[in-house]
Amino acid sequence: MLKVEHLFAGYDSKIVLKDISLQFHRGTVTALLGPNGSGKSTLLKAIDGLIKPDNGAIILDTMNIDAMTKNDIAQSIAYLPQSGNSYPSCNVFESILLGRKPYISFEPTKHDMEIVEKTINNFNIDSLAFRTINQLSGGEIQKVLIARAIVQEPEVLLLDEPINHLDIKNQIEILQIIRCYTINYNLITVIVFHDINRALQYADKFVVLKEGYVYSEGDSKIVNPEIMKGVYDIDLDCIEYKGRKLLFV
Amino acid sequence: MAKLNLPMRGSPYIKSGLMQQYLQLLYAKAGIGFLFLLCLGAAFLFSLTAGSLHIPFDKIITTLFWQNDLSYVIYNIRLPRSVAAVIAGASLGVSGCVIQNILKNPLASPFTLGISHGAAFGASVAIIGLGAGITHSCGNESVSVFNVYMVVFAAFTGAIAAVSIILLLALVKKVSPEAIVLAGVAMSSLFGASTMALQYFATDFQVSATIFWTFGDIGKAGWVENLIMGICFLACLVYFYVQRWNYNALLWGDDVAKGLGVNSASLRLMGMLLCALIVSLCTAFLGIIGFVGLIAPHIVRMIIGNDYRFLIPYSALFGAVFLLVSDSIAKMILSPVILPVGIITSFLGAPMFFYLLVKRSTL
Repeated sequence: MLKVEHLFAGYDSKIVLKDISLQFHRGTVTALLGPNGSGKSTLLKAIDGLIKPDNGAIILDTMNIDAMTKNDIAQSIAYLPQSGNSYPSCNVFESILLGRKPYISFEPTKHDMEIVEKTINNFNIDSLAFRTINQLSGGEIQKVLIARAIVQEPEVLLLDEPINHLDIKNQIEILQIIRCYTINYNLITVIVFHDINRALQYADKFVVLKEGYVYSEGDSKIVNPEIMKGVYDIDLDCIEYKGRKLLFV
Repeated sequence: MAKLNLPMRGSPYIKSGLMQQYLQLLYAKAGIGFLFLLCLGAAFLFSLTAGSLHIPFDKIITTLFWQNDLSYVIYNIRLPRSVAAVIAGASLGVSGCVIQNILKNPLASPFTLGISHGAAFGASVAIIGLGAGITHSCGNESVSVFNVYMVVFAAFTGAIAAVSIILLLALVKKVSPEAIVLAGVAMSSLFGASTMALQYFATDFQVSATIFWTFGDIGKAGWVENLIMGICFLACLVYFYVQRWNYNALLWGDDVAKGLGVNSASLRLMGMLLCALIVSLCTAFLGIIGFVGLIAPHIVRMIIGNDYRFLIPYSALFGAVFLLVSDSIAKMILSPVILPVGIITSFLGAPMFFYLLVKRSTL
C-alpha cells in the first residue's frame, strides 16, 4: 500500500500541495482529476521523490520514500512525465532498455534484455523494435514510454496524462494495457486524467484535487455533477447507459 | 471491455529473436569502433611522415625502434606533436559530446562555457600586462612568446575563471541548461571585450603576439605537456564512460532521468567541471582549436546513433583522427610553412559537416 500522509510540497517558496492524505492500493487504478494547476503533476513528482516534501511523508509499504536512495525509488516506482514534444533519436529497443537502468551496474545482462523482449511482445510492437522514436506516431511513442515504465518492474506506476493527444483507438488500447498490467502484476497505478468519462471507464478509485487540497475521494460515486461543479465550476449532466455512467455538458 | 491477453507476472520468456537482433546491432557498432582505431593508427603514422623535413615512411618505422641520426627529429619534434594531436583531439571530441548532452544543446561545444575567450584573455594579460611576450628577433620569426610557462599558466587561469563563474551560477542558483548557455555567451563577450581593451593599449608586437597565441598550434606541446594533458584526459574519460547510462537517461529530459534514479544536477555540474578542466589544459598549452569539439560528436552520432556507450569513446577517437589529419595537412599544404591547425579544422570540418547534414535530411 502507498500512503501519503499530511503532505505539503511545492517548488522553492511556492507551496502547491496542502495537507494531502491519501491511500493507494495494489491492483487498483486510481484516477487523479482536477483542473490545471490543482497539483496533480506535483503530487506524482512528490510520490516519486523528485521534489522533496516540505512536510509530511510518503510511505510505500513500510518504507519512507524520503529515506530511500534514488536508485531504490527507481526500482519500486516508475514515473511517466507529461509527454514532451521532442525525443532523442534512439531506436525502440534501446529506449525501452533504458528502463532497466536502475538495475544495470555495468552493462545490461541477458535477463534485462529478455524482459525488454518480452515486454515488446506483450505490447505487440515487435515490428517497431528497431525503428527510431522520431519515426513513430504519437500513439506508438506513448506505448514505448509505458513499456519502459513496465520494464522498470515497479510496484507503483505513476502516469501523467498518458492519453493526451492520442486518437480514441490508441487511448483505449493504452488504457487497456495499463489496466491489464495493474491487475496481472498487482501494481499500484495512479493516472492523471483530463477526460472524466475515460477515467470513469478505466479507473477503480478517484481522487479530485482543487487548489492543492483533496476535494473529494472515493469510488465512481464521487464523480458526479455536484462535485464536478464544485471543482471545475461548470454544470454537467449525468446519464447511465449500458451500465456505464457518462458526464457531459 | 475486451480482455487483452497479457501473461501473468513471472510467465516464461519466449524467444522472439529481438534480443539477437539487438546484440547484432551492438556488435556492428563495436566493429565501427575497431575501424576508428585502425584510422587512428594510420593517421598517426601518416602524421609522423608529414613535416618540413622529408623523411620516407620506412625510415620513420626504423627510427621508432632503432636509434639513428633522425632520432632527434622523430622523438623531440614529430612524435610529441602527433601525440599532442591525439590527446587534444580526443579531449575536445569527448568534452563536446558530454557538453552537448548536459546542456541539451546541439550547438554546444567545450567553448560554449567561455573557455576560449577566458584563455585568450589570460594569455593577453601575461603577454601584455606581465611582459611575457617581449619581442625579440630570432631567425625569421619576429614575434615570439618569451616566457611560455607564464602564458600557459595565465591562459589556464583565465579559462578556469570564466568557467568557475558559470559553474557557481549553476551550483548556487540552480539555473537551467539554457541559462548556462546564455551565461557562457555573456562570459565570452565579457572576456573578449577585456582582451580587446588590453590590446588597444599594447604595442604592435604585443598585439601580434596575443593574436599569434590564439592560433591553435599543436607544435607547442612537448613531452611534459603531453603527460599532463594525457593523465587528465584519461581520468576524465574513465569518469565519463562510467556515467554513460546516466547520459543516456538525461537525453530524455530531467524528469525521466530523475525518475530512473539519476542525480541530474550533480551529473551536469561534474560534467561541466571535468570538460572545462581538460579543454582548458589543451587550450592553455596549444591555443584555441575550434570546431573539433562541435562536430566530432555530431559526426559520430550520425554514424552510430544516440548511445553514449559508443558516443563517448568514439567521439574521442574521431576527434583524435580529425585533429591528426588536420595537423598533417597544416604541415604539408604550404610546406615548409606550417599553418595554424585551427584554420584547417574549420576548412575541413565545415564542408564535411554540411555533406552529412544534407545526406541525412534526404534519408
